Amino acid sequence: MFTISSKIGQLLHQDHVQAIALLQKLEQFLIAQTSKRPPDVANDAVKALLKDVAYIIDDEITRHFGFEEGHLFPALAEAGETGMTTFLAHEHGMIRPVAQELGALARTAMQEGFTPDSWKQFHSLGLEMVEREIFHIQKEEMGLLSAISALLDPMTDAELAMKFSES
Amino acid sequence: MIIDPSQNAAGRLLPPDIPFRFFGTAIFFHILAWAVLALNAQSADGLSWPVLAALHLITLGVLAMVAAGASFQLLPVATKRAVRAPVLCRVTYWLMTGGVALFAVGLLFNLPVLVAVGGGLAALGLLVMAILLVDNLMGVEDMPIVTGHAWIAALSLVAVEVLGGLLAINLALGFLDNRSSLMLAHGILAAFGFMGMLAQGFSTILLPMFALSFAPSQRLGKGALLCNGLGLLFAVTGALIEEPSLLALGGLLGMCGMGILAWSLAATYRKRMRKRTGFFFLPIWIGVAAGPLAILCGLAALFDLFANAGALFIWMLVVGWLLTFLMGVLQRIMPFLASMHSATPNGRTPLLSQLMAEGWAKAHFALHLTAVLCVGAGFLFGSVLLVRIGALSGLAGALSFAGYGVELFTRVRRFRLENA
Repeated sequence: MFTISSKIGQLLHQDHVQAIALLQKLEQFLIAQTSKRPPDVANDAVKALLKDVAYIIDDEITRHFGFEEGHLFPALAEAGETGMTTFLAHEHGMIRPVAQELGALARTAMQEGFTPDSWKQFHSLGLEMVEREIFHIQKEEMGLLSAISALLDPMTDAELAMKFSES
Repeated sequence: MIIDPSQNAAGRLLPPDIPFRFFGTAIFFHILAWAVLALNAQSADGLSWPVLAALHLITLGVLAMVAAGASFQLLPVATKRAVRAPVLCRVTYWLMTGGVALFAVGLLFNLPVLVAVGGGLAALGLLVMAILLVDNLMGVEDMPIVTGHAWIAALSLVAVEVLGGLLAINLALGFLDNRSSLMLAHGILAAFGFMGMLAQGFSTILLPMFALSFAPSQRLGKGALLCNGLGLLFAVTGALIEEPSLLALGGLLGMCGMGILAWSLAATYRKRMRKRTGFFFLPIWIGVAAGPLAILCGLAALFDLFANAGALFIWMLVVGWLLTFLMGVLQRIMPFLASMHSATPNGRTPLLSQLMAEGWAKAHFALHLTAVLCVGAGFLFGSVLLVRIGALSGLAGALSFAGYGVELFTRVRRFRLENA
């Protein structure tokens, strides 16, 4: 990894930091709770975590991925980098349904609580989400952010940063 | 959509057979090295031919093999430049594998001609590797710490070739009157110059990547690079002209370089985003810590501070530092690369946790550590029994590591079948 010199790189990195913080909180909670013990959704800490999962993991990841696929990857493709962006977009395709299903389960649980079966499903999907997304962020921090610094000119960088802030 | 792995990252991700053929062969030579050492244990300075065979099975068969596979795959990612001719990576592999096998058999069965031929082939393989490394580094200006260390490694490799070639041919023809200074310079260049610089350079991208943190401080990295480069120059010159004070100065500078780099890596690690890094960092940190310790043993040997200090120096250098560190890195990058290469036709890739058999890795680490300590103690106390027990523990560790590799391969295969 390296020092991030681009504006859009810094914004994406901030998103990564937030996502990792939440994913680690979720991972810690899931490991402590185990798949056999559904949590009490009336507990304030559990409620807050489920809200974060429903909002950040689903909505924010959809927004982050959507921006990369709609604006950033085409800009990088124009600069000649297509292999890495194809690979990352493909990973988005694997993470997105997991995030959406996890978000939906979190929203339902906030209303109705967990049954043993729905908790088992949430537990398994949550751990899969943590692992896939952190592995994906590792690759973006290592490859994508350095490609942005190397390939995008300052004007494109500023335009992309503005679009990302507005998204 | 079906992903063609060879097109990933604009061709910078090599076909999987390239890194994995090096890794698989390294795992095989790793077992062989410990077995040879267990059968021919000795506890005093002055290497017998079989022990020399075990030493080269580790340095050429494991360390150089892992370094080749890892650098062919990782350097292009760092430099953002694809390997120009992947076929040359395969040529390197065949030359090195054949060369190491002949070289080891020649040493084991006292056949100088085989040693010379094997050494020559391995040297040729390493030369092709050096050419590929230099070709990839040409014109790269960013990431000065990684590329700086890689440049020193590539240049050292060429010097190792020349000296190693001379020594191997001398075994057959016997034209050198005094070969001890050449042997010392060859060892320093191979261990510190080639392997040590690659390990230190790549650690500045690998460790932050595994832990999700920023690159270590550039200022400290440049300081470490300067100390490492100057230290190597002084140590090799000191060895060649047989000047102990210059050698000692080189050693001290090398210790400073390693210390500075380790300090900056630890600072980076403390600020990592990924808090739960698991067991996999333990062998890497122990390897990093063993580097300066090896130099201390080298200084003790230089000034004859205790018996067998020379043997302890070689042991801590090759096994305590480099082998511990590289096996730690290997057990992390093998599943990483396997996962990236395992996309099925329906687009799924396995999770890292599905691929990593942590039990095998932990068994390897415990047995390896026992081996390092037992053999080291064997040298300190002049006990062949301790050396042999340590070598047997190392052999069991090497078999455990092979179990880790086989399990990884089995899990990838199972995943592909289940998701076909």
